[in-house]
Amino acid sequence: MLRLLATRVAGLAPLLLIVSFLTFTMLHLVPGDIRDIILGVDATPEQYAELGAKLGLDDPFLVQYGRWLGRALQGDLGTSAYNSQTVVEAVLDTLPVTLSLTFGGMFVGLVIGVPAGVYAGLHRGGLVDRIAVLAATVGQALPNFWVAILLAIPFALWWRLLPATGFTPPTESVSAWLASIALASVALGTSASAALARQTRGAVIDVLGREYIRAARARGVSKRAVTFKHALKNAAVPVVTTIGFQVNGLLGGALIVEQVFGLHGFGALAIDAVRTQDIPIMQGVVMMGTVIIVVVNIAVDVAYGYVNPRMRPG
Amino acid sequence: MSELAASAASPEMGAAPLSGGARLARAFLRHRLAAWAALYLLVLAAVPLIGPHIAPHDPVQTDLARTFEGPGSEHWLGTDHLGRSMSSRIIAATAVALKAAALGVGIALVLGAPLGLVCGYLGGWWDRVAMRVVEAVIALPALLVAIAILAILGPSLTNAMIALGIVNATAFFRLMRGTALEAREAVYVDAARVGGASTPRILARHVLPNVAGPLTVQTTLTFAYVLLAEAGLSYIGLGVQPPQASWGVMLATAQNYLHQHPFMVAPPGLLIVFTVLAFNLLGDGLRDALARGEAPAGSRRRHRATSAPPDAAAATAGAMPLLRVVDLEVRFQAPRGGELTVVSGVGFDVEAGRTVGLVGESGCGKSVTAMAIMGLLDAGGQATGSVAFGGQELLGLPEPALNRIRGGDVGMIFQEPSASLNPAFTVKHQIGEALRLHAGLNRRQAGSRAVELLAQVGIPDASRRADDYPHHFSGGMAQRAMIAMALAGDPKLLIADEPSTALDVTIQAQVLDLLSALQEERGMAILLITHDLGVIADLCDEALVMYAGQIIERGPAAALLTAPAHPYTAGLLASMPQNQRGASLAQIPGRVPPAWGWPAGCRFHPRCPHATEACAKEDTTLRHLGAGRWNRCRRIGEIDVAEGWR
Ligand code: SF4
Repeated sequence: MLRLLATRVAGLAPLLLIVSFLTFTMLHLVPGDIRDIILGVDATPEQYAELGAKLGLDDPFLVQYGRWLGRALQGDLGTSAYNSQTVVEAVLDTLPVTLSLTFGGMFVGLVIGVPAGVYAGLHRGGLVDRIAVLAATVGQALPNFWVAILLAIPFALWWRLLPATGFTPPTESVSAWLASIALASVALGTSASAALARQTRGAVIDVLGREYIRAARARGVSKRAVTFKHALKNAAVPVVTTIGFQVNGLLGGALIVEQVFGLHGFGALAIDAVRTQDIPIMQGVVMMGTVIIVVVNIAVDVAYGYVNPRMRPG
Repeated sequence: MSELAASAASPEMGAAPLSGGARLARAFLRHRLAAWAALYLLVLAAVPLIGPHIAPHDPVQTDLARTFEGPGSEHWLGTDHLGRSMSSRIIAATAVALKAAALGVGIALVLGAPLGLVCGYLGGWWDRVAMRVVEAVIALPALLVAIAILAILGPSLTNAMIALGIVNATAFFRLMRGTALEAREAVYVDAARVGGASTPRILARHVLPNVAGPLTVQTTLTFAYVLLAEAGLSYIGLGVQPPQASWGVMLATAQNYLHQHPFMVAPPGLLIVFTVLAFNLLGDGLRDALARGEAPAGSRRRHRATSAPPDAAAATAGAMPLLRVVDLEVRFQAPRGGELTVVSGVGFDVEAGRTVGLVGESGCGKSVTAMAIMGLLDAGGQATGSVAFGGQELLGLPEPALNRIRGGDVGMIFQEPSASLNPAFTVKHQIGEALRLHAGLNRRQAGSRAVELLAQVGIPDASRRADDYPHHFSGGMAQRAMIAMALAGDPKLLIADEPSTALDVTIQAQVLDLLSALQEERGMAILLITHDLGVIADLCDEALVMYAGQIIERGPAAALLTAPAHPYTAGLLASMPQNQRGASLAQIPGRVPPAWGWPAGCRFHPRCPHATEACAKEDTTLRHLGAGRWNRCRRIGEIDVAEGWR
């Protein structure tokens, strides 16, 4: 298992490199001069030249990228163009909110989607199956942030069971943390659970039709054991893959849903960065977002190797 | 259930061949939901065109005297905080959303599709680089990237759509690349290339038609995604800018007045849901229709239960044989009501230690018969009659008792050995499972016994191979492993369903040799299901020939093969390769009719060279001819059965 992990991590290093290059290039294309933002409108030409030299703006593109990458590897992603906060600081400040929502949504998605999908798949054509399929179809069409607003109306505004705004870090109080992310997580989890339920149901139905299930039955394995041992382990393969795809969507959804609850996560950071054209911050957020996705995908790969022996090296 | 599936080819196909397009349209219309979705979207698509004319008010016209009006006759959906008509705003917002989504999808399509097509078709270095980049882009947080692009271009709807277009281009790239890659390998493209067709011409003629369907599906689904993303971006203020109306902007506004006017969040939200839902349903429906268009759907025609008289019970007097099947009938629930009888009136015996062959073309009910004996019919299948094993009736036996017999006294091996092994568990584990269930061994004992069994079935280096997963086993080795598994319960009867069909010719012989060696050693009986008369000749004591769900001839294997008494058996023999060295094979014209299309009278009559009018009218019975031979042909004695097959 360690070897698998090592292979995956090694395989993803070049990927991160490409991503960093793409991010850097893309954000380098910003029209206008970053010095306008940092210095303001009434800067002198000397100040301009000085800052240009300091930031190395006159160097060739690849040199700039190399320098940026070298610093990035040491954990220095530069300083916000707008205020004096370092990018790493700003990103780490907002990371807990984004992580909480992304994984909260994932948790809700898994807890609802997988059992629903398994049950529906095992009882194909039944009432529960039909309801699950319908719910999953509708669930995939629901905008997360709209669901979040709809949830906020009764739970936060009318009954005041949960806070309507604000984030409590788990280090302060776990229960308050849970309360502060509950609605957002459920809102994010609706579409994730819909996708997972569909995938799981399909996987279960597919596996149940396989010859090895019949072969297992033919050697006297009971229906129950066939379902829970032979079928579900195989059905887990495509489901685990889906989890990998879902992170990307959940992270994106979290950016928007956090706005419903006034949480200060990557969304708020990114929106401000757009408004102020704060390129260093934008780079930092995109890189960190990529790291989150990549790390989850490594975890998914490892889990994938566990459920699917064909993927194990050696 | 491969046989039933094989026989499920649509009868409409023969009757009235439909063009590809018409078939697709029909398949699509079967999805009523998708059709409704398409209709809804058509109506919606008219909004950008006629919206400004039907909107009762100017969507950005404020009227501060009339804010937060509830739904009324003048403003159907009421007014917002600036007194603007909600209904007019929603119409404007819909137009904005659709135009924007079309732009986003268009950008994704134009950016991704041609590039994917070229990369996939040319392959090589460019393709590898492009794929690396695409992989990297997929690993990027899509919405964050879109926001980053907005940071470069500045927040506006058009820029948001450019951003979403770029983010979504990868899906089109991958789709087109995959299809082009496939086409590159395909024979017909090779032929076109040899014929001197230019690359653009090949792409246009051979690749595009194949990809048109999947591309439409992808486009539809991307529409849904872009609509959702646009609403989200506008909601956080990075898309459509107020006072312009958009679903996202309206929701952002509505959120400010949640306390007082919660109703305001409903109209834009519901419109998003309906529209996204419609696109998704349309995409799913199209995908389904495409899948069906390729493989025509099965018929849903009802089938009248045939009233064929049951075959006479086996005439063997005295002690009960190991397996006695009497008047077995198998029915399946047809997909839309009605029942299909796929096996009727089947009866035979298998004596201990003997080998009985069940032979016939695919679709004649052989495998279904085997599954019925095992109690493993697919969902919706039902067996009546009697299956007695060692004197015990198996039909209707409760599951736990059946589970003791399956894999215990009755073992089974299958046609596709590799597909019959569970890929998620080691071979040892799976054999051990049977041993734990039937031989009462614990995990350790089962492990070492499994290795012994693997050695017995001729797997070299068994102790090491036992810990392998099935994907490390070749087809022949996998079948040996399956046999080892079936032996785990020390069976008295082994049901072998086409055990060698999927294997290479040399391996086939090895597996069959192994089976007969094991049979000699253990004295077990074998019920061998095959379409190959040669296998019957080599291994079987008795042969049963099945056609269209009935046994049509039965007798000692040697006698039956040297002097077939039924035209169908004679036809099968004539089409065996070794009988026609060099010459073209004799073929029985036509094919086994599907279960809903069994003719009245002798079921073989449409293909029989000896058929008379009586054959087409009167049902047949399996009659005893003496010397253990049974036959269903009514004209036996009148005709030379080998006639007509030369
Ligand atoms: S009964 Fe008639 S149609 Fe049927 S096999 Fe005999 S001759 Fe042919």
